[in-house]
Amino acid sequence: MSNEDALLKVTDLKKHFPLPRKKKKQEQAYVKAVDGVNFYINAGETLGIVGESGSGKSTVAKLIMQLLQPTDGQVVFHGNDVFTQSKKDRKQTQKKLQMVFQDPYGSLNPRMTAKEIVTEPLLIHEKLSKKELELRALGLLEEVGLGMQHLNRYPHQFSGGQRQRLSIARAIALKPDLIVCDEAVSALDVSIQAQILNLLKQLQKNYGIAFIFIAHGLPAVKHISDRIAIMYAGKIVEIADKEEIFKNPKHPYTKALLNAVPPSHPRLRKEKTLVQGETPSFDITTSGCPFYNRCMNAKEDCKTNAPELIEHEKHHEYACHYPEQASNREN
Amino acid sequence: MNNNLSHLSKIKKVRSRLMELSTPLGIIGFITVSIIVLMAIFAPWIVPHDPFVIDATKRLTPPAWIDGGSSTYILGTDHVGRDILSRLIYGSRVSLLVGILSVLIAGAIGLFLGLISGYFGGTLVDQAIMRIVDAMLAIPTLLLVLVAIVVFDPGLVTLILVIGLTSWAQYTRLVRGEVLSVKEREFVQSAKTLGASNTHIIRKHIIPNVLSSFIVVATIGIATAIMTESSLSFLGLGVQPPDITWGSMLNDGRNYIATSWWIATFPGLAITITVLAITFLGDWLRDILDPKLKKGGDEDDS
Repeated sequence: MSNEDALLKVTDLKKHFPLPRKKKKQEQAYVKAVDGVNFYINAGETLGIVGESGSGKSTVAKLIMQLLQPTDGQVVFHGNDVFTQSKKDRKQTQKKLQMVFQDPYGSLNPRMTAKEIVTEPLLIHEKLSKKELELRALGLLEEVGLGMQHLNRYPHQFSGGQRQRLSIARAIALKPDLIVCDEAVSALDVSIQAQILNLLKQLQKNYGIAFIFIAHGLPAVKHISDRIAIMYAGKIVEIADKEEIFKNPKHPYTKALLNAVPPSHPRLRKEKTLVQGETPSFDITTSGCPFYNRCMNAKEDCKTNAPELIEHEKHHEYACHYPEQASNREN
Repeated sequence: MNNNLSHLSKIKKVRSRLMELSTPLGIIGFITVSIIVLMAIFAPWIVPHDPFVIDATKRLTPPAWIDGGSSTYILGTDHVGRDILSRLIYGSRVSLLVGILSVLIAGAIGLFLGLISGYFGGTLVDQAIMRIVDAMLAIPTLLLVLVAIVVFDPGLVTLILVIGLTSWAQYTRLVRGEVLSVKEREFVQSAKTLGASNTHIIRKHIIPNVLSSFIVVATIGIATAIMTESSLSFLGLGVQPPDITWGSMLNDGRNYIATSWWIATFPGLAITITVLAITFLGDWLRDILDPKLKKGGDEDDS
């Protein structure tokens, strides 16, 4: 991995969940939700993480936010390992590292007003008078396109898009350096998604906030990301600049994801290389490539020899023995 | 924003909210409970007769609308000539006192233990609390109360303490269950990522979301406590004479039920009406306390 002074650096991160044992003597089995993930993110940049359900992308988010303890590995933020840092550093991390959750209904306390919701971080980390809190709340609401008339409303009086704006207002209250958005727009209508994405871009431009943007499809991250990482079965299989991923996908899974995006016109429909089957079950440990059983390029050695994530071209890493040829450049 | 103005608009909001959510049963419950509470508070000033005075010449006078009844004793007199209406009014004091105070005791214990048990779910503390709860719930409350009353001297204070200390288990279990579900919601996770302390999370996120179902159950708990009090007083183990309770009035009338039905009927009715009214009130409170049930709140109120 390059970039020593990255804002956030994830090194060999692993999270294995133990499975319940059926018999006493049975060996302990694990679900390897996250199995050796490496990436970094620079200040002010947006990294998209894409993967299907069960690929471990939300677990990565929870690990970064320290909602889970890792089995192994490091998450270094501003030079501190978030899992072993001192109390004082932890306080600082909690201020500068924020999260926006997927569900705009579940992530807001139904018994708090908008004002209470967006000022909660201030209440925890800063000592402010009531008057100041009110002013800050108003400022934050205006920042995300809401107004004074919304101050004393409860979450159920807002639409899904407005609620997500509230979540974002809460996340930017402490002027963070990095916001982890875990499927932050997946629950919204496409038109509202675009609005929220534009809002995030605007905030990034104004305050230089970096984003880790997690999604299950490429279209959502295409708009906002600088770089994109593709996750499959707890591992990153390809990571590159956005243009590279879209123009020159190397991993067969990335290509399949790209082909899964419906074209804007039916006549534009071309070859269909959709992936068959499901994500491999996690308790089966294979020594080979995790994508082996669904891959079209798979050859015999893929079954036994797992490819490593290697930087094959500049800023373009992928884990595949038989990468796609740069054929569909017209895409 | 003007502080005074916002305060006024808050009152206005609460009032309009009550209007929106009023159901016939809720209103009946609310009014009836209010009347009973007022009756209990002002009992010495509103009773038509002294409820303690025995007058053998007036004994077993039937209610006013029955032959032989007298308009001075509207609900008749009992076997020693005391005015039943006056005694009913005085009896409400004991019933409400026992009901409210015992639920306060039980609720406080239940809420506290339930919060701890639920928030630290799965730990040794949680296990210990829940096993005690299981044990408490396995023994019928009335039986436990009976034993306790026999061990300690019967009386008002004993009654309140004993009912309170034997009925907290159900609140603990309820609160624990609610806490377990609330603490997994994303807004609690979100507060955790913000670095909120456990006290902050419990105070700001858990309690407000647990309180409404707790209040509903506690309200209905008052009704149950009143029933328990009446049962014990009926058995002669509750409040001792000369203090008046509906339960002991029922007991007084037991021997005369065939000839002078009014002695037992009116306290029985009083218990039934009070318990029903409190239950209605509890259901209504649940509706009011749920912010989602607030209708028509989407308009701008600025």
